[in-house]
Amino acid sequence: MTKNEISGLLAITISSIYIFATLRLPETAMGDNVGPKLFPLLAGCLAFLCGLILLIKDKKLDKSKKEIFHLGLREQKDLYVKIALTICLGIAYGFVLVPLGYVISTAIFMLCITRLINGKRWLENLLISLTFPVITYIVFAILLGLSLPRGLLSFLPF
Amino acid sequence: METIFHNLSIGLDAALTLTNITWVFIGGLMGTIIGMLPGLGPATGVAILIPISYGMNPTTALITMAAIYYGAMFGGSRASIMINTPGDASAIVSCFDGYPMTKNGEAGKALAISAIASFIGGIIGMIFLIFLTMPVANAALKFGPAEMFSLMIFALTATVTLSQGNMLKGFIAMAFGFMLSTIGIDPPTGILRFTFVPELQDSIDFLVAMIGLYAVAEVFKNYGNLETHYSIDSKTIGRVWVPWEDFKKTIKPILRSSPLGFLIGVLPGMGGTVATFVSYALEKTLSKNPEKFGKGAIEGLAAPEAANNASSCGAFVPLLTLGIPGSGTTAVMLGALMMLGVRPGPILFQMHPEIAWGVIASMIIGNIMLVLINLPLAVPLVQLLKIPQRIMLPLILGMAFMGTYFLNYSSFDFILVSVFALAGYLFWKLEIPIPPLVLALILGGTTEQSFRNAMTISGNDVMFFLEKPISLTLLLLAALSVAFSLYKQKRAAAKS
Repeated sequence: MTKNEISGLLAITISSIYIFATLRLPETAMGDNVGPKLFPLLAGCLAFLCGLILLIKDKKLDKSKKEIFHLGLREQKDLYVKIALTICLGIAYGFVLVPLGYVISTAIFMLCITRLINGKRWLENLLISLTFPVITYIVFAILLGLSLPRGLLSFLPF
Repeated sequence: METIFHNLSIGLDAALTLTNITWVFIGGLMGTIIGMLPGLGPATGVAILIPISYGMNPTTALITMAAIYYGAMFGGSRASIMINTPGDASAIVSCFDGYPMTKNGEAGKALAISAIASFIGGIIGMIFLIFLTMPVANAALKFGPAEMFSLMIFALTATVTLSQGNMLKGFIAMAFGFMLSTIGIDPPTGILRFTFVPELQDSIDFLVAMIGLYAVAEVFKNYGNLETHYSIDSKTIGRVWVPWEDFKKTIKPILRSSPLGFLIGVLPGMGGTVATFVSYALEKTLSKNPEKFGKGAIEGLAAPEAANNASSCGAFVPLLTLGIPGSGTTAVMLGALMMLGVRPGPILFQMHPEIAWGVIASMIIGNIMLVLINLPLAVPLVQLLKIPQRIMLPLILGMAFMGTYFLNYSSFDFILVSVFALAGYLFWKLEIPIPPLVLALILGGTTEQSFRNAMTISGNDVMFFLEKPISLTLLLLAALSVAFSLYKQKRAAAKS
């Protein structure tokens, strides 16, 4: 499949789900007389139509002209593993932020991220993951007075 | 005329305090650094620096944001000149003659003229901005819901058709943006729409979307070239200064490019990218020795730099007076303003002239400050280009996630950011443009409300949009831009 065909399919799939969800919204006489359905319906149909045209246009092309699109999941396994791990780390970071506190959770997050991106240069990694949370905490929580969770370190006076 | 100076003095009064000037300096410096880093453009720079403005009073925050925005613009061309790697699309043209100048051993001259041309372009743009905002804001006050809806449609359509790439994909991105904007409580009826999880009830915070789509996705794109290393030899940069005879050559190009860039910047969808390409092409045509262009002609660097900064002033006309951003970077700026409780639009100039004019005044101060930062500090600043990606990217990620947390203090947003980052990466691979999505997400609420208000007023008559002259004109312009884009595609297809 070409980039256009995949984009077309993506648009058709997402808009179909969206239109289906729109049609199931309750009717209401309150508010205005247009209701909450019409605008989402128009947006959904726009995506659906554009996706369909994109798909049909590329289907008509000669096979020789088509540029087949590869995500390259196998060839660039390294890259995709990095992306997946970054996302997992980011989500996990969100969950431990409050219980552990900003400084500790950020230090752990940065240590994992630098290991992922910077490899085994441990000295650099440690330096970054210690200075980043401390400096940002000083700037945002102490100088700018924003509230950041202190978590395990809440016994400290600052 | 008098009111303009009166307003400007209100603005300057608000802007010129010691705290504000300190923040303009810090913001400008940080913006320059982030805008300069290869692969990270001004939109990313502004997106991850937003947290700095939290906890400030609105005026200071606005001024800091404007300084970051300008800094990122100034910084973008540093990477083009030194290492031939533009920070974003509007810095591409600066590579054409900027990098050859560096190879000819004129890096110092190139850095200096780019800062000076940007400064002059910015100041000229600012003068136009000062005189143009009031008339536009006053005209916009008369807009009813029908005109407002047609204006949004025109702005979004123009963004799709005027940007490069496949138009259908642009419209798909725009529709996706609208779809995302409908998530959450529907204000007129109170119905919950598409809230699959309770966290979505407050609708999607578009700054979360932008941090994901711009900052985090940008990091993913750079994962492919982690080991890239740029070497810069400080000894060959030379003195960061432009001799008079060289400067003389650039005066006319700068004075021509600035108004041109400004005009292009005002139009929705045509940001700095178009402005820089058009001004470069114009100067090459007008030049007596066009063969020097691309080989280190100083005019070829000065003109697009001036046009770029003038166009970023132009972009503030629709942003401040109508609340319509014209590009990814101005969209992030709009997000930052709205987060501070400032809703740009014609009413802002009536209700809070000190904020509206404070932004304009602060941009003047920012421009002056940035030329002061960029001339003497150019050599130490470009040393930062030596920092390898593998050190820079973790810091960007750290800033991005921290910024996300500050938005709503919610860990659910970390999931949203990740989803948007993945989507941004996939869209990039599929060549689906991101700006229409972001703009539609921001403008979706207003578009839907004005559509529904207009329909209610007219008793569900769609013809209402065609009966009002301004609304009709705007819709015709939108149709025209689609037709023109189709014609251009046909001609390009016929050629090949």
